[in-house]
Amino acid sequence: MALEEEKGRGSYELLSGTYSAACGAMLCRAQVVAAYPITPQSTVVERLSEYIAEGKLEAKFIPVESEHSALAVLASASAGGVRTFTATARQGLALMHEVLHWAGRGRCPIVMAVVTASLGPPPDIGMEQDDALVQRDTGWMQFYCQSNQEILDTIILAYRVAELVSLPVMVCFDGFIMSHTYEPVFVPDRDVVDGFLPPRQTKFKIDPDNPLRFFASPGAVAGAPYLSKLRRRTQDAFEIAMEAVKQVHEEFYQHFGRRYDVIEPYRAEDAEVILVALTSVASMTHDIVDELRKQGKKVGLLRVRMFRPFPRQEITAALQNAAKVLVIDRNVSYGRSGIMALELRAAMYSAPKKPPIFGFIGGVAGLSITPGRIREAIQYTYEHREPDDEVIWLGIPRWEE
Amino acid sequence: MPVEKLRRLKQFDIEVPEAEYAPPGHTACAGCPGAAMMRQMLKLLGPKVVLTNPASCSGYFARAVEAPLCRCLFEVAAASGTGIRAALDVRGDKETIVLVWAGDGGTADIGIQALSAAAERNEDFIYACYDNEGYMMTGMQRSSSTPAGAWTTTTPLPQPKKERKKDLVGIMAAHHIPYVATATIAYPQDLVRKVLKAKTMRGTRFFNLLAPCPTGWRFAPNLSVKLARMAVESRVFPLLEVEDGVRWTVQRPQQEISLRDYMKMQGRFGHLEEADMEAMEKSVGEEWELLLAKASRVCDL
Amino acid sequence: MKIKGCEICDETMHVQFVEGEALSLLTSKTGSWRSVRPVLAEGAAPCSHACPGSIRIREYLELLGEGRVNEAAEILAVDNPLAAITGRVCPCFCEPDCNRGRFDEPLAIKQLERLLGDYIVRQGFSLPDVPAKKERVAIIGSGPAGLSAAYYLGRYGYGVTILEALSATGGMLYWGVPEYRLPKRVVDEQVEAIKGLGVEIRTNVAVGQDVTFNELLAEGYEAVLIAVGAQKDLRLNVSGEDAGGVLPGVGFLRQVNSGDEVSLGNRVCVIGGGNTAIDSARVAAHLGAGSVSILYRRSRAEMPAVAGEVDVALEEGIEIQFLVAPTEIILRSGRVAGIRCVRMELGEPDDTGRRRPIPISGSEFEVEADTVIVAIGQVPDLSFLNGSGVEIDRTGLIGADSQTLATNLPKVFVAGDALTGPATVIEAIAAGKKAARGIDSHLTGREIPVSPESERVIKYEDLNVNYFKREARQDLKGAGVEALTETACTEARRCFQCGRCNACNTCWFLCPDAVILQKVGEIEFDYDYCKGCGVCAEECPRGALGMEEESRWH
Repeated sequence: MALEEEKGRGSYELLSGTYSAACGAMLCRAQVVAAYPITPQSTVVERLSEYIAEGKLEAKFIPVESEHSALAVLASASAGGVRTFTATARQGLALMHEVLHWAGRGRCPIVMAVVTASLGPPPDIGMEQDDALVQRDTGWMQFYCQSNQEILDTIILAYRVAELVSLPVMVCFDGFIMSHTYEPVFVPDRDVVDGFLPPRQTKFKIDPDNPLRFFASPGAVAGAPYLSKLRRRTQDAFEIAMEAVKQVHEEFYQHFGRRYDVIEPYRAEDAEVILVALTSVASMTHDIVDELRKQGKKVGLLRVRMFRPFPRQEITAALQNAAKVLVIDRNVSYGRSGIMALELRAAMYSAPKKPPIFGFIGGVAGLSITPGRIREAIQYTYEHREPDDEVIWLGIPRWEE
Repeated sequence: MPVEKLRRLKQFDIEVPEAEYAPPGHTACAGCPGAAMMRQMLKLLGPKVVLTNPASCSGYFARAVEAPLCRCLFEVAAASGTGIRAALDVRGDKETIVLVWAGDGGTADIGIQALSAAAERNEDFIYACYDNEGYMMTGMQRSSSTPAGAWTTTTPLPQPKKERKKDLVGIMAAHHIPYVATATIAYPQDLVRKVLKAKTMRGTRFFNLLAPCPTGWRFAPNLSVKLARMAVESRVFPLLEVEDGVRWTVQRPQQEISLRDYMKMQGRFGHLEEADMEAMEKSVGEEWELLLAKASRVCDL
Repeated sequence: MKIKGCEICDETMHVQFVEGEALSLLTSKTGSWRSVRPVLAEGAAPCSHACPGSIRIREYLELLGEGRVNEAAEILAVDNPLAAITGRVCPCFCEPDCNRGRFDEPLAIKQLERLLGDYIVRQGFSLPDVPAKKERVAIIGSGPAGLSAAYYLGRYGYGVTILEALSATGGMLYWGVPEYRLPKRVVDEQVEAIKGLGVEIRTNVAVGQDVTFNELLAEGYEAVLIAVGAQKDLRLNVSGEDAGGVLPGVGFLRQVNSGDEVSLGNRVCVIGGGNTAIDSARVAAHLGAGSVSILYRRSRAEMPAVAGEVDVALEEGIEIQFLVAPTEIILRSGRVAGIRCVRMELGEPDDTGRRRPIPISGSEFEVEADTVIVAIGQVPDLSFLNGSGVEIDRTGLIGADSQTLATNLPKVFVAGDALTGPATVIEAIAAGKKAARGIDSHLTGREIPVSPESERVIKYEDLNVNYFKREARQDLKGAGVEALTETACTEARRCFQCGRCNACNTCWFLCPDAVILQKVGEIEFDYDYCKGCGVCAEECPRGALGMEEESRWH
């Protein structure tokens, strides 16, 4: 069968973000799933349980008692050489924190869907992105998706990358805005996916006939020379991952006909003002860019799709010619600023040209970012030569007000 | 299929495999019963075993075992065992035994959540809690398994631990898992029988293995087996089995000694007055009677 | 798949477990930790230590317990050629010291010895593969000392001729011990077994009568062993002793054992407290005497007779009066009518260690009797040595070198009761063995091996009895040799094997560091890794391991 025809084999389904993630895991033939319910992720797990019960997915499903245990189960199962999947959100991801380090430094090729939303106290489920972003140091790759199609597709290519470079991958998307909204998603036939993603092969797995030691060290404690080299080796893996992702994106396009990239600029090449955003803010901004361009404002959008490894060179190149850059962070790194703003400023510091970066924080705790808010931020950027502060609060007054 | 070479333990007229999976050179303390019992269990379980262990003294003596070893985080011994079992099952390997090995801290305290959940799911592994009644690896701090009256570095004098030892056997029995057993190094025939029995079963099998710790309990290393024996003979550590949470079998030792004699051997109880020990003896005696009443079978060791 | 020149590798964080290098990272030579090290420290079993013959009891019991009857028999045969005898008449020094006695019940060593001894006799002795020597040795007396010496000399390869004065062989075994204690058949079979080694025995040849001692010396034997025993009864030295109705003890027993009719009165009174006295009393009772009593000048505790025999005598209705001594035999018409006695009390110990009996003046009384058997001790009859030059000491015993048992006369040796005075069979057997060694040394110049420094004798506290289960002692009285593979085997397995490593594998199993390699008969410690925890030594069921300070500290 010609590749063209193969690309087309599949069908459209109306899927929510969570069902897209579940569908992706099912198509990828995940073998061990361990998950704990938490709003807004629960439906990922429910859908996977249905797949398993119906025989569509031959996997062991382990109804663990906490997210911490969920990831711990998968880390050891991963050492067992099988393909693993889980999903979580909010407190669940925070609870997993210790194990995120373990799986990251432990080089377990786990794929996890993260439905981003609020961390308490007080308990809340409104959309924001702290939960995922604060985990950026744990040795996981991170993708941020803007559509349900992208969620499904990213799960598939996440496994391919993960198993090539032995790093775990988070596939993040907005709580409620994406998780609970439905879009038509082209679901490829399973065997088409099989052609892209073979079963997991690894030389190193738990096997009584070939005893190896996993997550262990040569001595009772590892010792500085050994461990420091290991740290460097893990960082090196992220550099390799950077290249691997690009290659896999190309393979994905060839196989499925849909193209993805680590960053996705929209009319940014000649823009004077570029808005940098993740996920739904980015998807909302296309129309605003077109509208403002008609008004003579040369505005552009840069969506960051892969956050770890951070595509520094791609981002700095894309922003070089802008006069100003603005970013809308739907998160707060307390005592500092929004996280995207932080990362951008650090990236641009070594660029030849350093346009001023306006760091907006808005749309946290479920507060909506409407097109109006986006326009407000762009307007503000046009009106000010430079930001007067590290953080510009977008639609969030002080407590007293 | 190579024939397994066996050695006879003449005192008990039983045979155990000769093969060693725990070679010397590990850095557990001299006389450590935990190290001895891991060595014994691995012998009995044979070559098709995967070991997973969290932070504990076993980090010292599991280092060079000749079995695949999967280290895990402190809280998640049972979760790690779950994951390994799942992977093996998915690969079609139903034969390899998953042995989860954790200390009393990693089992009864920080690990109890994962363990309770795994037991509720009746995960198919053998869980061995080697109980040295404290966080010995990190410097002898108290755990919920530390008995009342004991000195530890976090219950120093004049305020030794007040609270009684957590009833881990009762907790695990309440999960109605197929097999719960206590055993210790001083009764090799009993330990061998129970491990071999567990080997033939499926589902969650839980062992509480008393491991008197020379370093933490303050006694000379050559007495570690003797103290284990005295713990059983003083009835403070009864040897028993619980099947499916309902059928209790108690093994009665050949002789009985007073709790006082047991406690006087240990520096960690050195500060106790006669009156304290008398009160403890009374309560141990009462609990023993209750245990015998609950048992459907009492046999001689 | 390659990316920009790097091979994408599938990695997980692990350490590959391989031989050599990685293993050396994972393990340490923990032997450097220790300050004491375990060593094999075998000790002597208390049973062998108590036995005058130092029989290797635990060694043969182990083999018997494993069903290896022939191998057990070989050991016993080498240590005690008259096991069928001692298994019946020995006072049994071993069993009271058996450590098992403090746990449940002592091993039935005597009965086991009897069974194995009977088996040995039935199989016959086998000689070691030793070339026959041209030297010949003469032994005077076919009692236990003489038979034992003949056996051991035979094993060396020497030719042996025993000269026995009486018509039947065995000495006191035949003539002095009653049938019910030691059947003549057993003695005969035992002697036959020894003759089966090529030993010549000539009965009815009394040295001193049929041939003089000096003639014997000139007959060309390279050595002569005097083993005549102590069979001459001591006299009471009271008036009336020579009257009719007063019988010497050994003489009485000899008469009974010869099958002759013996006429006894109705009221028999035996004087003495040794085996001869008890045997005489019981024999008298069995012969139908109306009443039999024993008078002994000390108390029960000092009686030299086998305790079991005293118990049986009492059960049979024989009355024993303690702390009573005769002062005169009362005669009527020249025959015994009674004994005048005096009561005694115990004073300071004499040179045998027993408290000396002292008469209580004014406590005289009379005992009715028509027969008196005097069994107060025996001395050797050494009249045949008159004019020989052999030195006899003031107690009437022959003097000898303690190592070789050589007398002052060249090539003349002595063993048994003739050397020591009345003693036990096992002591005579041990003496015979010693004499044989002394004779061999004299003939070959071979040095007698120096006995090792006094060994540690294993006490009950040295054991770890927690590894044994209580079991009742098997009742082997009356059992036949078929029991050797049944109840005797079961009984033999009760032996603790005090002080001897029998590769029970307890230490091997308990060791936290897997540094003990135990093979049968040897134990090895891997000192590169042994931490010296001492669990092995503490737990060894039989006290065969000890802990030694590390020499590097000195």
